[in-house]
Amino acid sequence: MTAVAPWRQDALALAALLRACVSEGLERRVLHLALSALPQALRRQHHLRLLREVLQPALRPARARLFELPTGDLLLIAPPPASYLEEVLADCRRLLPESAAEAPLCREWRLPQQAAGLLALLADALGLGLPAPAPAVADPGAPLPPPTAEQLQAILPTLSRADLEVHLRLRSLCLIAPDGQGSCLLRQHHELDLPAIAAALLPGADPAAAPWLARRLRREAEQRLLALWMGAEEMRNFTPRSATLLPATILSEAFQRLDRKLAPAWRAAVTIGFAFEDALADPEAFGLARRFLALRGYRLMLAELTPEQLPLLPPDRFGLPGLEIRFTPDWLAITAAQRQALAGLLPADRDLVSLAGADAAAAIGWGWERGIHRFRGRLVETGLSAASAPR
Amino acid sequence: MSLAALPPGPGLAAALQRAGADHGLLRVAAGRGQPIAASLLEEAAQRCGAVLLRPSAAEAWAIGLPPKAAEALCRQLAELGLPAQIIPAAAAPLLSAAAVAPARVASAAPAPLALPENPLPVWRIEGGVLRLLAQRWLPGLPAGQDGAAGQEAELAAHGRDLCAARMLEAAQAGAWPRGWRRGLPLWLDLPALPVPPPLPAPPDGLAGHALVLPLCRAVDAGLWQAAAAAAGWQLAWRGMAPELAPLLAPGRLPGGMVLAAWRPGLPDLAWPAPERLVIEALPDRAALRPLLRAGFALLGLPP
Repeated sequence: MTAVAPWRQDALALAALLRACVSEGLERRVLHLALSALPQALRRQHHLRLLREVLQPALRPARARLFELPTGDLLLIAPPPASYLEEVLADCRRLLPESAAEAPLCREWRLPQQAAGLLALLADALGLGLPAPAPAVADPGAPLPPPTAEQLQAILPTLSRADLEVHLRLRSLCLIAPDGQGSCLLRQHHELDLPAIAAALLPGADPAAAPWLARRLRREAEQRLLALWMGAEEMRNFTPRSATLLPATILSEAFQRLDRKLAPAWRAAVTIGFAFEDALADPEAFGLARRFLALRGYRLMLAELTPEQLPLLPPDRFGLPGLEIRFTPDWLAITAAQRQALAGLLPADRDLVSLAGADAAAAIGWGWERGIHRFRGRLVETGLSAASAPR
Repeated sequence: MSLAALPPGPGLAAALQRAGADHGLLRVAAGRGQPIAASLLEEAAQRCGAVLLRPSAAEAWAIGLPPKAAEALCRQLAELGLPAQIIPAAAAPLLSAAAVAPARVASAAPAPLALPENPLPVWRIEGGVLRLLAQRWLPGLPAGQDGAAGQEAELAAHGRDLCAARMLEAAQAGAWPRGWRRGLPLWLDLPALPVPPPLPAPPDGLAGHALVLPLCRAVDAGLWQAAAAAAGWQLAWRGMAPELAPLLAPGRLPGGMVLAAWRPGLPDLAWPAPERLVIEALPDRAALRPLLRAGFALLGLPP
């Protein structure tokens, strides 16, 4: 029999407990001793033993459980009211030095409300935390200049005939419920690698520095995406899908050709997302595209929602029924006002909400706390069972 | 009937002859919405055995639609905000003579806009009296009056951005437009940049000068507001439109004035904060009265 490190068992049991708390709405008080952050001078055996002894009385009533993370941090989880925790907390604070750092050495969490934070803590401890921001590309010295209109127009004919299949990424949107029931693939998000396309066609220029030229480039590329959708093979095996497009792309001949080829049932299997910024940049096209898509039976969503946009958005999301949130660690730190704005923005039918950027367990936990069960991201891709089929 | 893109003239006459006497011609010229309109027309024509004509890229006609189908399609187009006309068969032949030349989308890069010398006045109307509120230094003319029709929208906008970038450079060098009246707040249009550029100090150190940003930069309004405040400017937003009207709910958009191009039917819309809205590009004086009745008092008008 292979010996399993005790912390590994603890981590698995803790993950299961967190999941149960969210899915069943179980309330728990959690005491977190961040022993990993303890100054080296205080990390002596007898000191750690003292701290554990302080926790012992809390464990005696038997309903509290103690977990040890691989980092050495301790988590004591007890059902409320657990009034004895106040005493334990006071004892711990007496033993632990005042921490000058932002994160206190000893703090209390609440479940299920803060499950996402605890999942993030657990993921960090297991080395599965949110990925560090991608290292900046080697500093090229001066920033790249914007392309000129002439440069863009010179490459548009090439792009208008290009096969962009190599630049197309398919990302699965999966249903992942806290109770683990009925997980399945719902649809695939079709995403063009626009930076790679721009780098190939306009080397040495930064399209982002000329936003309108970047939009023109993107519109042409998106029309090629639609052309891929219209391939004979693709049309025979048309699967539920979504894409975030420019409103102007919907007005293009390419989209109109696709629209005429799609049977009404297939149009309902296509979800078109509009980013807030793109709607603001071209309200006329946005209004027309939104009305047209709704008339023809497509599904619509506001895409790429970030915390900074919350105060600007009206509760009806400009008449876009669905919502896709792009998860970043910033969402874990939103203010009370932002939380309230988000609550007002989330469609009551949570089936219309999805969370992109689910790269770590914290994203899934954060979504669950808000009743969101539809996720896409790296974690979903790796965990996706090949057996599940689109519903 | 096959969907031949018949040439106007004899083709049109023949198609009209084949169509019944009560079958009219449905004509739609919908600007940027034309691909959508043409596609819906084609679908209806296919269903009803009518003929589709595209006399130019900007126009499409369906000939021989049964009256009921034509009316239903007209209603659908109106719901989308696309104007369509039903022309009785008897009047249709006249159109063939008037068939417009194809409106070609300009493929050339936009000609550089000249650095404007005279900022446009922004007026407030109080009790029927015009009062000069500010002057706006903007590249070319306000949206809708810039004569960029026929040019791709993105390229026209890029052309204005290039000019705005030169205005910003001039401002950084302390060169303000000659037509600016000292003492009046100056509103300076900035190009659509992803992050704030180095900002000049306002012309005379007085308060009330504003940087006019494209509305899409509101997604990181905090960043821009901080940069503008640090350099001594207020913020205003351009490019508001009826489609986004709920955004103006009081307090949602930071900063001061919000600029919107005039559109037919604009006074009938329920704008949450008309007092913050500057209406630009008015087509004529007749458009003024309904605006004032609806509570709009700020106008960006050529002098």
